[in-house]
Amino acid sequence: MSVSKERVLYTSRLGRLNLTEGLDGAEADAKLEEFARRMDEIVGYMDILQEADTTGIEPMFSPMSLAAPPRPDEVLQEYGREEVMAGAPEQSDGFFVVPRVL
Amino acid sequence: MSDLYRMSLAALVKGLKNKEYSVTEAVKSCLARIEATEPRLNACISVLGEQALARAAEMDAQGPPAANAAEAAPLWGVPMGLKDIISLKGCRNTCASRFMEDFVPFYDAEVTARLKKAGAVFLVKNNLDEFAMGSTTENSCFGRVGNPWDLGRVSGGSSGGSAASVVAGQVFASLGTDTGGSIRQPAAMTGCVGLKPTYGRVSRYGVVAFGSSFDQVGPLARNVEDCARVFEVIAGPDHKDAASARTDLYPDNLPEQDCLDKTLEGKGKEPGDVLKGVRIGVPEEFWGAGLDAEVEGCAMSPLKKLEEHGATLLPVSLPSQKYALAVYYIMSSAEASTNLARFDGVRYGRRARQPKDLLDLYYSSRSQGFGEEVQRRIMLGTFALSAGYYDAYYRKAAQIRRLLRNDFDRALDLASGGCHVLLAPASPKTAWTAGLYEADPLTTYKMDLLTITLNLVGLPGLCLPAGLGKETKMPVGLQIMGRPFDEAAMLRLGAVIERLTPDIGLPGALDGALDER
Repeated sequence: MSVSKERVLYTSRLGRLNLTEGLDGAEADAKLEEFARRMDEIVGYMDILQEADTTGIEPMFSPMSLAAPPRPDEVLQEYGREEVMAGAPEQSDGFFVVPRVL
Repeated sequence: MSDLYRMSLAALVKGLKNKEYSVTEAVKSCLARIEATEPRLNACISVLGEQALARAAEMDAQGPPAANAAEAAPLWGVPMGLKDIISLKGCRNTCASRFMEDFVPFYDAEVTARLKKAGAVFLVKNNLDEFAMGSTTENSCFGRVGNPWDLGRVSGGSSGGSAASVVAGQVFASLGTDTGGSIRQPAAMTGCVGLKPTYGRVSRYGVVAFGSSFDQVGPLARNVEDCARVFEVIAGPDHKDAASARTDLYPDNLPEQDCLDKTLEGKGKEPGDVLKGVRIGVPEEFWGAGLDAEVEGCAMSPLKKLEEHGATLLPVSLPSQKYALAVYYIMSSAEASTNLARFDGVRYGRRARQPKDLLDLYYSSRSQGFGEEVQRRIMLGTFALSAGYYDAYYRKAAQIRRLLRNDFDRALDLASGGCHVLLAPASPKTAWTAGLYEADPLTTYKMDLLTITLNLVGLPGLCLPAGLGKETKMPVGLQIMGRPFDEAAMLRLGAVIERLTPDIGLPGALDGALDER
């Protein structure tokens, strides 16, 4: 399969990325073209997977063979709210501030 | 005492305990070395001189731990580094990303806490590829790291700063992270020893996640024994990491306390005694086409010596290895795209100025904050997980991942005559010239072919120097791949290989820096 410029744009929206940040017009277009070309090359290489016979093979999403068992639900307070929020770019009265949504 | 920095970690620990020199002297020796080398090496993002000297003064005032308490502080007074993706409370943890440039964590990673308790003194946070994505440490917003053997070449990646720092004598050991070879490959390229533990062996609590089913934290040090000493401190179950292997659930999760003893056994005993009955697999897929001749020749020489001393070499086949690179880049990028979704510009890290609305805040913060390679991985992962492609790429890759694990389980099945370990080079090339593959991501990805497989199957890997390549005169790394939770056997064999292999010596590229002072 091949990765088109449109597919790149659509995927970038899903990933909340603007690949042409700070560029416009012809520059932005060239950047997208180049990105699509590189990505097509990479995805083209990935197509080797289709050769493998995986009939009836259970997918392995993690090397851990067992699921972590539940533990007692204990309340711990190791950190305070102020500490946790200290890295926020903008906050007010213990809340994260974002641009208005409605 | 100005050249204390040249000692091994093991020797330093002994001397500190016997009060032959103070912690302050050890720290000062490293700080002088950092000052002399760092302008050209760029292995550190933060240097914590003042804090380290204050901590050293405290420790000197208290004196070394009493003999009966020494076991609890096996790294007492040892200057160390941490890859700048591992939290150290109060020191910025940048991940070499603009997004996290000013982020200061309010807690220690579990490994950091364990090392502190063991007496380590943190001197530097090491440079890396942004969010640990890369194989050269050129993808850092703080600039690339030089290779101590030849500053014009790359140091490998993504833990290239940790490796270069250790080899240059800035610190006695450092921690790295390994998602697809990021400890082993830079160890190979700079000529030091790096250990990627079994998945689940070392806690990732407080380590910024890249690929959660791949990531492991491990040590980089100048020799096998030093590596074992650090590993013993950081290994072991931790309830704060959901994928930490509890010993009651995984009976094969052998206690890490065995590792140093086994290493010393490998160092001290006659090689013939250690190697008796040891079966070493030579996987053809790792030694086939694609290796530079100098790498193949150099990496093969220790195998011959092992055979001469009584080990049995067995040809092994891992037929699914041909898919490993594609499986790895699909699955690790998918996990990366998921993990990096948390960087939204709201709760921490970078926020774009004056966004139009909430959506624009996400788009702009992420696009301004993430570098090109990170954006490429997010794109690749998002693509593989998106509707219409999930089954053909992500799920298919996960199925092949299981086939790969089956290959390894067969090769390492001792009950039916399988191998104790497998041996292979860690990189098809020695460290290459900086910028060589800059515009060619796929070729760079292909350089990871020999290290990614262990992350897919969750098994441990130890990389150590096999010698210098004939052509480039750069270090060549040999990789020991082991059975789950059997790091002790790998370290023991590593110590034997170290004995049987001529020492590659110290890198020459930096020594002038000291003489000029």
